[in-house]
Amino acid sequence: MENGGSSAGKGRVGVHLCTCRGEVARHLDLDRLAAELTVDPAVAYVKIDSELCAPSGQEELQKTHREGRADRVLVGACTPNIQGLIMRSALEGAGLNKYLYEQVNLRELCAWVHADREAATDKAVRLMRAAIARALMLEALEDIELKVVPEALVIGGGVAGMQAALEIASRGFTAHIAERTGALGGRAYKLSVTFPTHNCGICCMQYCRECVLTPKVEDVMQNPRIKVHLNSEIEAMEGGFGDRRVVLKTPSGREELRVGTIVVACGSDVFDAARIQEYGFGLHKDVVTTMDLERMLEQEREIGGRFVKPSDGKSTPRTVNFIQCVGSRDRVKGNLHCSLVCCTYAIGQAREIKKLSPTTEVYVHYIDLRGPYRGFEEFCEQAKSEGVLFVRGRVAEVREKKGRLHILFEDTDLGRTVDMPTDLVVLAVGQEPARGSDGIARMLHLQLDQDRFIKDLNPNFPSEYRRGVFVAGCAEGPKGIRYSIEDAKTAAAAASDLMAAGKIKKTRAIAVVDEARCRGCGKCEEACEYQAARVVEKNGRRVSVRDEARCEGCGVCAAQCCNRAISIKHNTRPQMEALMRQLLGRKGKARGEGA
Amino acid sequence: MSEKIVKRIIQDTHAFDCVECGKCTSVCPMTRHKKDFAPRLIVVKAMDSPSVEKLARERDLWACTTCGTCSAMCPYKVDYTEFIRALRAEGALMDVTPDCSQGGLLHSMMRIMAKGELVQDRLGWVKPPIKVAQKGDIYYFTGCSRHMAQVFTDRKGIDIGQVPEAAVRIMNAAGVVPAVSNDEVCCGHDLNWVGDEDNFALLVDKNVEAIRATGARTVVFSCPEGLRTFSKDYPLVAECDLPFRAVHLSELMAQWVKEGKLRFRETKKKVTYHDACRLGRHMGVYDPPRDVLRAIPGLELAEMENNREKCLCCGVSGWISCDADTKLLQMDKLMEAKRTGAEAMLTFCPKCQLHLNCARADNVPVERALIDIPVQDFTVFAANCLEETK
Amino acid sequence: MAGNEPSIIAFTCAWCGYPSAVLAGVNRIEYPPGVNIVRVMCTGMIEPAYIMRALEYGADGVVVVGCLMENCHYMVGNKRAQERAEMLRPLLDMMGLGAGRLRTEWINASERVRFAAAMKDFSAALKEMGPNPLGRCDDDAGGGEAGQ
Repeated sequence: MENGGSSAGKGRVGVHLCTCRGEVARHLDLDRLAAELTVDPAVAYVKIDSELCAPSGQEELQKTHREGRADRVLVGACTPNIQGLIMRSALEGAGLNKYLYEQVNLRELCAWVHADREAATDKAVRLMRAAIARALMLEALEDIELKVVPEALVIGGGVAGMQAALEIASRGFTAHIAERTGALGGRAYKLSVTFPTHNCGICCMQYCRECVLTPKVEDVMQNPRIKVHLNSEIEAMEGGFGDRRVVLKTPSGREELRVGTIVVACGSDVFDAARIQEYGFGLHKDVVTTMDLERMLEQEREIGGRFVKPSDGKSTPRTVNFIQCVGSRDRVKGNLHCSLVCCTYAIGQAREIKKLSPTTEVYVHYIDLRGPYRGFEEFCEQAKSEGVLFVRGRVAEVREKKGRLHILFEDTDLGRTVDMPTDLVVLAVGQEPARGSDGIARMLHLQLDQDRFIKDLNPNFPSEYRRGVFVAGCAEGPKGIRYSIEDAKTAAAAASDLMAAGKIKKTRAIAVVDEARCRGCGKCEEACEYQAARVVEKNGRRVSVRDEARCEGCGVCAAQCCNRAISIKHNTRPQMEALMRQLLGRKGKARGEGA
Repeated sequence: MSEKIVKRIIQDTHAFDCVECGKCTSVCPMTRHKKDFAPRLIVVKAMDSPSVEKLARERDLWACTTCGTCSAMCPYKVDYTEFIRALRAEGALMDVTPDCSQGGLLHSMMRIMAKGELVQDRLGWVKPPIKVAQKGDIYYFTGCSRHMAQVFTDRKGIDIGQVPEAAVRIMNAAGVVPAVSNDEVCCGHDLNWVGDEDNFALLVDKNVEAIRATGARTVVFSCPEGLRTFSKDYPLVAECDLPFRAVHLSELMAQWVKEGKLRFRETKKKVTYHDACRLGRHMGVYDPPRDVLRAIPGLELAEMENNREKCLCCGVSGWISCDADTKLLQMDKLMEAKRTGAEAMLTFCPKCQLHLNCARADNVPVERALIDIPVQDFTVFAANCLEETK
Repeated sequence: MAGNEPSIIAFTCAWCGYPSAVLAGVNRIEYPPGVNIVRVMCTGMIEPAYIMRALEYGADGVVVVGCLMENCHYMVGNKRAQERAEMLRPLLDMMGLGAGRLRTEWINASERVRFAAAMKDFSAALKEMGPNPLGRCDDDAGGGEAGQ
């Protein structure tokens, strides 16, 4: 039979009500509430304070708790998720086990949503009574301590991946890079120039590939704490938070790694321009993508060739048209999201062409010009002064007429359609989630955003860890090099903090199995998304056991178990049912009601 | 006070006559796999320390399936099952309650039927060409097999939801149009066996009233638990003499077969038959189902090693005794059935079908081929074997 | 019903349901006081027995509020809750309590307006359906709440 543990049922509840600087008191009759609760034999005392989250309030909580009249505390105030943590922490400082702390949100869930003061107070009484019934059943528990293996796995060897690995290694931990292709550097390696816009001079654009990337790749390869696995993919993953066993499929066989943290830096893929048929990519040699243009410009610089049309390999294009937002901001044939960097790099390439061939007419066809980078405004002005022409209007079609390429668009500023002959069309393609990133997300229980990039737990606070898994770079969403590096640094720092601590505390509110009741039927194993439930042989019987590192305490297995063999610590059935009974005004269990 | 209660129970059930011979232990299905379980030990404990508080918390009090094999074999006719039930009832009064399967969902449902004044929808299964009536001499008890079929809607191979329709189809074929009532409620078997006498009494009253309103003198059950409860438990609880008697569908079917009113078509199949506890040992109905099976041309009946009085319990009763040991018992049962070479195991009890089917679907400790025998409802099977009417 | 208000047990998940209720409070969006919010980690934690018991205890209605279907914080917990609700509804009809007494709402943590609107709508529908036939009898028990 279920019971609430050794400390349940004998406790006395100390109740603190907060007026929230008079705010809650305006909507609820706290005096009546206090009066109704004081007469409950389970309540040790009821105190009303004006600001429990303030230092004075916290002191009051601690002082009262030290008096020893109650062994568990219930606070009726605001939301437990935010200020509640302050109050709980204060009480922990006075010796209260954090699992013996209960809070009711009287402010957002009662005072602020019901106009009738009488009815709101009645409800407050119900909510507090229910919480008292639950509080009496709480058990004093200790957090689980998980060890964190001081090794990290970085998935992806591009800009973000390499940076993360270097930062982790510099802090003294081993980093494994698992890279799918045969080379490090990712897409940035294929770029001939990159554009930090605050450096507006064309004379010194950052040739990241030569100046920065190559040395960085060297650093990574030489670093004794970084193990690079090229042409490798993740085959399987076992274990849980802090201790994961990863099986890599490498050209020389299977390799098993044991890591404590993971940084997902699998990057993004470039949009396949052929999906927008009207732009003729793949049909006409002189329709290229910005990535193709990179190669052309690179040849121009390194081999000393001329900037020429791909179709004949000799004539200089007299007209070049850049089409922006190819595959982005397109609900029908592409992705809805904006890829952030295309305006910047396309304008940069436009300026580069102008430099190479000042007589060539260069047009940039845009819907909006977006550059979330410092100096972008100046960058555009500079481009205009160099003769780059900006036309607002989404290009409708690229086609061949009488042996010449033509581009059809509306100049929305002037309000007229134009059918312009051109020599080179450059498609500024956007970014989309890398092939296979959804598989990795699934394996690591990460969620995808509406644009299918991997979602961070909190968009405002990057790298709030989730089971020791961090996401950095374009895997999290389209971005340029600088922000990828920043991401990688944040992720690496957070991962290193975890590994430096060597252990992490995890909530005890996870599933436990009553082995006497367990039939070993396997339904929990089937239901668990985290592979935390396994049916094993134990003393000649089959029972379900839990992997503490993997169990999330979601309760799905407990509800799936038809025999009540599973309970979630701190979220037990008797607590739930006692809560419901109080909310519905019953005095106690119905006669004959089962456990 | 508590001592008096226990002593009264001992007296009522002849428990004092127990000579500790151990015959019950050797035939008890629970002792196969559950450590230290023995029917007589509960009696010993009761006589040793007659305290309800202590006895009500004994594991064995709630692990027993009340299958009655012990009592059937006992040379002194100690009524162990009633002993268990009565102690459970006393325990319930002290708020000692067992852990129930499905989280107590079924019990909650039954208590709701007992306490509430509800306008139910129990007769959704009545559709043409089925013929029923509002009043009549014979009443068919619909029961809760359709409710349970809904709860277990995700399980494959369960046909208990079709029972009421099949039963009435058979009755119609024999020329009988039974009365049914939408005011009927759960028979209360499970509440009775976990000791919830109060809510059981409420169900009894409602059912007696509902049937009385139809004027019926005979109540027909396809479900063994309903039959047993009406026959043995209702008279003790109802506040008046019951104006009707309870009979099992198989008894009527056997009669109709003899009278030529029920005919079956050729069905070439080999089946085995499971004597549900409540039909066999509790009510003594062993032959009529077999007579019916023999009347189906082409059908071969292969008996299990343990049949009739010795038939192995399905392992669970009242939704409370389910655990790893009963799972092993269910493996025994299914293997025994499979060894007969039958293609299916037929039974009248919807619970037995549910529990054995559940055991089959589990992550099992034996080779699946050894237990691969479907468990089907007898009534549904028989109805599907009926001869086509001209 | 407490006064005239249907009493509702609203199971809200910790990641989407509960925050949306809290945000409704922050924005002072009103809804009827008969709504009692019970926080669970995931709607997948809600056993059919909880819902049946809530109705047995006299709740006029039960609503399960969880994450949007594709966005369950625990991957597929809300799908399980949906399946269980779909199992229960015909049963509630057979019993005479009415399938309309059980609702599910799948919303985002930020959809405070939807939360409040859903509570108001459910409350109104329950008023029309009438109170739970079981009422809220204060059944006495052998023991009190304390001590299992």
